Amino acid sequence: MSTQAKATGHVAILLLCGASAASAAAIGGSDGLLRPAVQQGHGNSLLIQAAAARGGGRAAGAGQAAANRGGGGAAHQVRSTASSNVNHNRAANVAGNRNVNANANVNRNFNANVNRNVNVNVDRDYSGGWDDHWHPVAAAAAITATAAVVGSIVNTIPPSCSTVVVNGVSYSQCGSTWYQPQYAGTSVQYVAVNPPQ
Amino acid sequence: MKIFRPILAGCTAWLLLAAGAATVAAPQQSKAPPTPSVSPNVDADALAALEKMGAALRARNIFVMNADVTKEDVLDSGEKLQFAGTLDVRARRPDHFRMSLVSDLQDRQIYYDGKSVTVYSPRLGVYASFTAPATIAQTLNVARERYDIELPLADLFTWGTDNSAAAKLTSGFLVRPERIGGRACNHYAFRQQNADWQIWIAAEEPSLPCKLVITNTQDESRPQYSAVMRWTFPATLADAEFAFVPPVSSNKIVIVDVASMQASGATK
Repeated sequence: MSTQAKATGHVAILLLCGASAASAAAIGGSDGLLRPAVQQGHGNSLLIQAAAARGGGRAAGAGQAAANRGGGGAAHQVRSTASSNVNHNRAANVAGNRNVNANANVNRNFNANVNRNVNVNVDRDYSGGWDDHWHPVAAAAAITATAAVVGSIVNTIPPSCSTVVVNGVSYSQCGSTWYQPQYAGTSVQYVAVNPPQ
Repeated sequence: MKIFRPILAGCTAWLLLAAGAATVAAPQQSKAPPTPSVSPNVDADALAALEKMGAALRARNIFVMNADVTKEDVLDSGEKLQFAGTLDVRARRPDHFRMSLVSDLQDRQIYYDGKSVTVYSPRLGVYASFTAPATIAQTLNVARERYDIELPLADLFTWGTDNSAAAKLTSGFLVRPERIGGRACNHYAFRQQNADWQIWIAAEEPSLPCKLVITNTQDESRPQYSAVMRWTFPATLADAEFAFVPPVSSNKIVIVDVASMQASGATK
């Protein structure tokens, strides 16, 4: 494959993606792995995808930040998922999937996750919900800019947060905001709490 | 497709566990009618193959299953994304199992030692436990109903113990013999409400499943789950295989009791 041919391929993809209102972009994570993230809008989408094609890792933060900010638009929310059971799925698995959209509202997040968790994984609302550890710096800034409302739930927290054990309970302290991690199904969520005494 | 390849590579995990493992042919609650009526659209040989497979699975008290899995999510736009992962299950009936669900998106280990279930995330370094009932079958129910943890492929372990399963089928037939990973298997297709599913069953004894594909028919994009399974049957599996020992750097957290929350009206 010549270099030119490859470049042409990228262009074609970019055009394709740019034509949709919102498109998923594969962007580089801080660990060097490429992972999907959510991206909205044409212009940014092009930038991010171009960076991804070049293997640019730093574009990740920007992409994720955009995703996290995307509550007001057509972020790439998962509306349903495959079932890994024919007869053993919860009724919620079938009927509850649409609740995923409720993720736009942080305070309703818990319910959404509960209903959805069913099979497998779960909290993949494509806006910061990638489980386990991908915590771009930009997203961290977005989260800590304002104090989280106690009781609100997020799926990821910034990497700068530290784990603190108080009276046998594990907390994640992110500046002045404290979170208590919990499993909801097999997903780990972070509930904003008052600072432990 | 440079752009898309990374998406596929960024696989998921999900899958949790399959395993449902080991369901001892537990006495079914009295709900099972003596002879449920099966749709005439379900071929007798297809139904017999399922029952034979169920018997082969229940005949093993100790087993290890490794599976390569894919699972699809549907975005609001209707676009589907597929993620890949692996699922490893080891079980010792009636009251031990351990599952490992690994993908780039989520990595979980689940232990059941006959007394409690522990869910552990190696990457996040947190684990949570809950008290479990005395058998795998009961534990599967508690995990699902109280803690919202569903064990994938649990159907495989309960087929033949729940008569109502066959009655749910609306169609079933033998497609044709097919090789899966070099093994001679027979491909069957079934339909029921909300799901079309296909299963490949080893052509030779024991009649173990080679592969399972479940199509969610509730969404017009029809997301699919697929598992290609390999089975081994060690003579023993020691208790230590099922015992969770918290790594030094790990922290214990809580797991939400969904049933309690719903009962108290905490969720709206």
